[in-house]
This record gives sequence, structure tokens and C-alpha cells, in this order.
Amino acid sequence: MKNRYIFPLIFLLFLAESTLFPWIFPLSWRPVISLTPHFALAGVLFVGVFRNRHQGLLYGLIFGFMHDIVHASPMIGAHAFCMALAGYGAGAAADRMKITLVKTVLVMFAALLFYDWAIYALYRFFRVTFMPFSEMITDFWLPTVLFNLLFIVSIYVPARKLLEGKQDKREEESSGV
Amino acid sequence: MLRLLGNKKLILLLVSIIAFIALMGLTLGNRGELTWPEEFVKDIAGFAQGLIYKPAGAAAGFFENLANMRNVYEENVALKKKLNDYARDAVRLNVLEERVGRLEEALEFSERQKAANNYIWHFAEVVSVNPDAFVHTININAGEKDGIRPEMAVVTTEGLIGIVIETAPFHSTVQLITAIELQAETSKAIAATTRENPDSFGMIENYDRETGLLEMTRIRASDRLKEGDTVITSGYGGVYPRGLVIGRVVSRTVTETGITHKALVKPAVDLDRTKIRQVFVVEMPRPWEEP
Repeated sequence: MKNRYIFPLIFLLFLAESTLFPWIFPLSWRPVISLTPHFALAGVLFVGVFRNRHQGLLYGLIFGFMHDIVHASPMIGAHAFCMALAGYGAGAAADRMKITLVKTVLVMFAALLFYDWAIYALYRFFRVTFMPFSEMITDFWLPTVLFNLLFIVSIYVPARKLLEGKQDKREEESSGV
Repeated sequence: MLRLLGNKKLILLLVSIIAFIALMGLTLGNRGELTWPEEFVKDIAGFAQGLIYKPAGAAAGFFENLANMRNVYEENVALKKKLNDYARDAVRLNVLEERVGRLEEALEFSERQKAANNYIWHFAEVVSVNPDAFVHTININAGEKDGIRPEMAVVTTEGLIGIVIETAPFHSTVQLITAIELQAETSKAIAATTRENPDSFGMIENYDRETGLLEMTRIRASDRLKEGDTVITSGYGGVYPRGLVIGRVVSRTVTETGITHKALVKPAVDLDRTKIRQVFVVEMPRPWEEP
């Protein structure tokens, strides 16, 4: 896929996070479970894994800053920093191995873990939230990571097809998807 | 890990960490007016969000309506009764307003004093909900060009929901009262009183996520506030105008220190972020700010 399509597609994911998702997710669960969609982050991670780590870093910075500005984060740069580092890290990890579905999911799990915990740590450090760590794990992180991994697995095939060139098609079939 | 990164990259990482921490420290808190690149990004994204949020809400609302079909009859009866009450109140309001006007004339109020209670209500629609679980904000489609300024109170028809924290030319961000946290530096407490007893005083200082109740503290032991009272903003803080409904008192207890009391308040509005669709931004007349 051409590079110029990547930005609009991740931008659509970014928009869906804050507009479509609230209507899809069962409303009555919300007060207890703070499930958070990371659609844009998923897009950035796919770019990092299937393109290269530098593009992951670049798109992470762009969409992280966009999140910080559009949603008025308590401090600008929190999401930008975490998303850029997650994108770069996922790309760097994927550079060292042959990409399969299982390995991608593992890399992305690590990236999601880093992202959520780093955001939480920054918010605790800057005294934005006072949620205890154990509560954060049960009420926020577990549902969030499960939901986002589900999302990542469900868009794995189209994302890979879009991001990788044609020469890799054979490899994709052999990876057992 | 260090060997993986290499010297040059490690230094780059450390420098960028320092730069980002500095940036975060500088921009911490509610900054109000934004710089132009931020305004640009916010307006573009806000416009795109508005295109999606409204149709999505309409579709979701359609299914909700189907589910509510059974209650239509009861709802209709209740609304008719409300409408009768409204007509009666409107007559009373006209009489009272006229009398207050005459008294103000007689007491020679200045123009500024007379205008002190003329709030301007700006209508706005919600365009997006912050997906971040720790930051309780929504974006609305009215901004500086519509007269919205930071620190204006935001209400729905039921009651207070929050405060404007950032404004771009055509969009602004509202922090919900669920963000109120005693220790946090990013939220403000609300000075409150009750409709039944205007001498009551307390501060809404905390929101309990588990129970969904607001905590009203610093109530004097002699205060006549009781269960079932309607809590409204008192206007003493200078940020929130007087008389906006916050909620209803559920219980009242003595605090740990034993000196003051605290009350739990059930918010008048369902503060589920997705259930808020249309809001009003309340502009207080601020004559001292005019040139």
C-alpha cells in the first residue's frame, strides 16, 4: 500500500475511538469497568511491525500529540511519548524475527502493557489520578488489554495485506493465518 | 536491553525522556486558551468527529427508542403534568420578575448590579468523548467564536455537568464533575448550598467512582442540610454561577475529625459520558472584564 493511505486510515481509527466506540460498547458497564479503546495505537503498532520502526515512531508521535491536543490531556506529551516509544519498540522487536500471527500478538501485548502502565505511571506521577494500582489492574487494564488484543487479532489479516508489499504474500499464507 | 539499544540511541532516548518530562511539566493543568497549532488540530479533528458522532448517536438512539416503546404512555402522562406545572411557574416567574425589577429601581441598583443575574445560555452539541479512562472530558461544538471562554459552567436540562477547560475557535473541551478529586491539581471544588436552605454551605470535593456519588464536605455541624435536599451551586467560588442544580443529598455523616459533617450527593444528571448529547454553556455577565 502506498504511504499516503496510512495517515487517513489511522486517523479514521483515531476518530472511531472517541465517536463510534462509546455507542458500541454496552453503556451500563461503564461506571465500573473503564475499558479504553486503543484503535489508533493498534494502527501505529501495525505500521511499526509491518513497515519499520522509524515509521512506527513517526506515526506514534503524530497520533499521540493529536490525542493530547484533541482530548485535552492534563499534560501535553504523555500520549505522544508513550505511543511513539510503543511504536518504535514494536518495530524494533519485529525486526529481529520472522513475523507470524502469534509473534505479532505477543509483541503487541508487550506494547499495550507498556503503553497503559506508562500512561498510568505518568498520571500518578503528575497527580492526575489517584486510582490504586490493584484497582487499575482489575478495573482498567485487564478489560482494556483483552479488548484491544481482540481488536488487533480481528484486523490482523487486512492490516498485514494493506501494509506489506505483494512480494510477502507467500509468507503470509505459510504463517498459518 | 542496553546492549540492544547502542550508545547513540540510548543518549537519544534519555534526551527525549527529559524533553518530554519538561514539556509535560510545563503544560500540566488546565491551560484555558490554546496556541494556534493546537487550535488548528482541535478544530479539524472536532469537525471530523462531529460528522461521525451524531449519526452514530442517532442510530444507537433508534434502538434505545425501540426498547423504550413500552414506557411511552407513562412518560406522556408525566410530561403533561410537568407541562402544567411549567405553565403555572411561568406565570409566577413573570410576576416575581416584575416585582424584583421594580424593587431594584426603587433601591437604585446600578446597571452592573441589575445585570448580575442575566446569564447567557449557549447551546452546544457533544462531538466526542475522551476514550482515556483517567481523564473525564468531552468535546463540544462551540468555541471562542461562539462566546465560550474557559471556566464557564456547563449544564444539561437536568443540572450541572462540568466546566469548560480549553477553547479552540469552534470547539471546546468540557471537564465533567466526575473528574473532581480532592488531591488532584487538575480539578476544582464547587462551593454548594441547598435550594431548601440558602444558609447551608459545603464544598463538593470528591467523586466516588464506585458508588457514583459526589462528596460534599466542610458542612457545619449546626447546618440544617438534610437528606433529600436539592444541592445547588452557591456562586461563592466565583467560577460557577449561582443556582445550578448539582444533585440530591443521599446521606449525611460526621467526618473522621468529628468537627464538620459531610454529605453524599447523587448527581442530578446521569454522568455516563455517552449519555450526554446536548449541553448548555452558561455565561455569567462579567462586566469587570469588559474594556
